[in-house]
Amino acid sequence: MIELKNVTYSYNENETALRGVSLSVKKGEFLAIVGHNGSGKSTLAKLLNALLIPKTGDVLVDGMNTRDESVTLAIRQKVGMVFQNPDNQLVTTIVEEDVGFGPENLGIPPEEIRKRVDRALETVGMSKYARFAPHTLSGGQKQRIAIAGMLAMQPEVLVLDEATAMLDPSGRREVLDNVAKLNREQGMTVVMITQYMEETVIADRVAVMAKGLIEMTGKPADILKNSARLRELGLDAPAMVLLRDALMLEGVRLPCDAITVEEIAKALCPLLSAV
Amino acid sequence: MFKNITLGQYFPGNSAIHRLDPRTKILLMILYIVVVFMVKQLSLFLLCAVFVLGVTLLSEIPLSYLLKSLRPLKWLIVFMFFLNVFLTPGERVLFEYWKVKITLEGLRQAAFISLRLIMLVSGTSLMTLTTTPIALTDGLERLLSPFKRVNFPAHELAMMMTIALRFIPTLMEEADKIMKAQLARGADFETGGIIKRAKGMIPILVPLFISAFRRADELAMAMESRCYHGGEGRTRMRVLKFMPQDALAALTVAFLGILIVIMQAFVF
Repeated sequence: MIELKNVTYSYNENETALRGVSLSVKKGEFLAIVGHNGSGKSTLAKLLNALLIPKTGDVLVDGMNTRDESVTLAIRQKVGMVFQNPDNQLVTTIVEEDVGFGPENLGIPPEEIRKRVDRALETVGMSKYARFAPHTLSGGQKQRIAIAGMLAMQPEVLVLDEATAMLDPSGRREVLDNVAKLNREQGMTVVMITQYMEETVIADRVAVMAKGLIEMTGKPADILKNSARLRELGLDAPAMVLLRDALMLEGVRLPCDAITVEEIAKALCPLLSAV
Repeated sequence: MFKNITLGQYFPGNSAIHRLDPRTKILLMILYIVVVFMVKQLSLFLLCAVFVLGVTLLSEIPLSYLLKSLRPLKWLIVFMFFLNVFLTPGERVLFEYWKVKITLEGLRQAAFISLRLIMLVSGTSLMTLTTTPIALTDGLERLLSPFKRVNFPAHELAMMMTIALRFIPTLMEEADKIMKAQLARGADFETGGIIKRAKGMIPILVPLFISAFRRADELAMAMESRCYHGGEGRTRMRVLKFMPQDALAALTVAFLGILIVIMQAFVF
């Protein structure tokens, strides 16, 4: 679906944001890209829909090169992007009109836009708020509207560029649940960029970035086996993984691919009843 | 401080007037202004008043709301009234004291000018009271789009207005937040003369501007991500369509105009 070939990018002469990244995103996959501030993960996101053009190397979306300006709109239609600040990506004063903004730009006939908007709002569970003004909604709700705005363009990939970073825990839950559901039920390819390791446990695959390079890729469970390495890269393992590691150091036998609360609980309960 | 600000003066409702096409309302407002300026006889303002009251009743807007829209102009109206009373030359003197002279012509002229102002403001307010700012923007864009051929940026203007409307509440909230943050740091916005207070606004305005620019940058990126590329080839979800009611409204205003012209030509 998306293919990055040895991509580099720099904002100015002295510092390089990306130093040769190769990565491929498969159709229907849920990929999490994690890294701490300045690791180049947001730059990577903006390269995916031709907001930025790589300095060297190529980004191919469905075989289309982002360097080719004649396919820029086609690429942006295929790769929907949700940004960090929920306020700064909603354009109009009424929720449903905002969701319609993308399809309007694509020149889709009015009746079809109407259908898409209704469907998109329903998918994110915001149909009730169709006539609301964006500034009256909570952060999580605004991000869901932003996602709906992307869905209405019928993209094949949804890129979330730290879309949960400015939300409170319940808002974050709302957005992540919605995205996971989209991936599971509609087979939407998702690229989620985040700095929270614990958000990556719902992904199929995790890529860890540091200083403009991809340091590790693998299943969430495999990545989280190595919490010491993660700490070196400036990332904190989720609380459950820290608990698991601490228990294992004390000699408790736990499967080392247990990463969620449920998995740890399932592994611990038989041990407790044995005691 | 900024909590209860309303944008424009839209009065929510779903009356026949509210449902009129915004283009109809804009055009009829212009026509109404022309009609009001055609009135040369004091008594014919009665017709305009009947029209305004009729529309107000139809739109289910409380009369007090309409009067509220006149309030900011009350000093202008009073000023215009007295200016005309004292400065209009005339023959039939009603009252004279030293250099002050009040004539019948002056009084008539003063009443005429004030009534014209009142009719203009109340009639045009009816449009803004019954149309949401976004519908107005939409209507304006479509009315102006024929001028695109001579490079008039109709779509761009409408887009700017939409974004401004969208971000005013957001920036208001932010100004409030910054103000509280500065108050917490010991800033004083309440005391001192006007210059001191104006200077006090600087610590609010600077961060507000910086943040507005940052927002603009991010918004531009978000719009680009959603394939925005100007007005070309763009469709709209909501299509404006003229309905029979729009024709009826147009006929009513036209009838008012014709009635006034005929009355002036034959009756007076």
